[in-house]
Amino acid sequence: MTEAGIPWKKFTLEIESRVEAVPLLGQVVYQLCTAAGVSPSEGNQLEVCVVEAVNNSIKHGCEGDPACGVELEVSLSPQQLVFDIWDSGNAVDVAKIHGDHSHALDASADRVKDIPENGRGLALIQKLMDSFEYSPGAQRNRFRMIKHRDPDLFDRSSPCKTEAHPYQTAFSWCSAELGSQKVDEREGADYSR
Amino acid sequence: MKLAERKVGAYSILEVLESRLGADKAVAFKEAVGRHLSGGTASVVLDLSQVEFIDSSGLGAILSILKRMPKGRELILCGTTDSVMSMFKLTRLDRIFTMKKNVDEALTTLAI
Repeated sequence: MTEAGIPWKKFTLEIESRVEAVPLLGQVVYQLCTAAGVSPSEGNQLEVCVVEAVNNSIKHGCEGDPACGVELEVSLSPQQLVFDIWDSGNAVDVAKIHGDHSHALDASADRVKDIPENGRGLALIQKLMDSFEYSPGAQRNRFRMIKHRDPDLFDRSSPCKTEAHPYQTAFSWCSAELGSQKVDEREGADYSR
Repeated sequence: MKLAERKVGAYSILEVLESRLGADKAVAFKEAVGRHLSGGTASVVLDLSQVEFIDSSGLGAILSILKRMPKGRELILCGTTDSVMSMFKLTRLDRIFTMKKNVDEALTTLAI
């Protein structure tokens, strides 16, 4: 339970490290966030961030090896949304990830041919999330993104706020859609992990 | 990658029949549109009204099409949904493309 007495939830989803597996993951994130009271437009932005981060894990961490698992943990609370992307691939240079990426959004019509086609993923995450952090590990690497919530904007009529089964709508949707993919829901997990 | 092509006068209209344009579709999208470009001489209207989600890979794919447009042929985007338009604005690529509300407006622009 949170300090305000409102329960929060953590969801875990696992996919193979294939870009074809990412769209469904993104849709689950959108459904979870909007069921938790996030507006559709912000839900879309959060989905974009997760998709970008997972694509980066697949491309740069796992380097296309499907056996290299990618796991997403979504932690929802009235105060913040936390997205942890874990991969068991190669560690990426931390300095490159934690730098300023705003230049990637500096498109200019004067030189269309010179505008890069790639490299906007981290810039979008930097712009849309409140913070992000990459932590390479001996076994797994973690990319964490945090989005703070304005309690005054929290939609208390959201399905996730039903008294008996908070987040049930979102979780039921995930269970139905994911099929064989793993979805693990549990209460009371620790943000500080 | 599902694309529908139709001709209106001298122009080619390509409608993207996908709800998502992400990394999993970006390569196939570029190849499919590239085939249409190589087989014609017309300016192109790319109708994105069916696309509800786009990521940086999808944006990059559309940018690559613009960069590959032969001289004298135009590319106009139209029908962008709110979520897709927000991504163009966030990345400031809305300044690079000619973007119109719908196919009719795009064709009117080309005819001028």
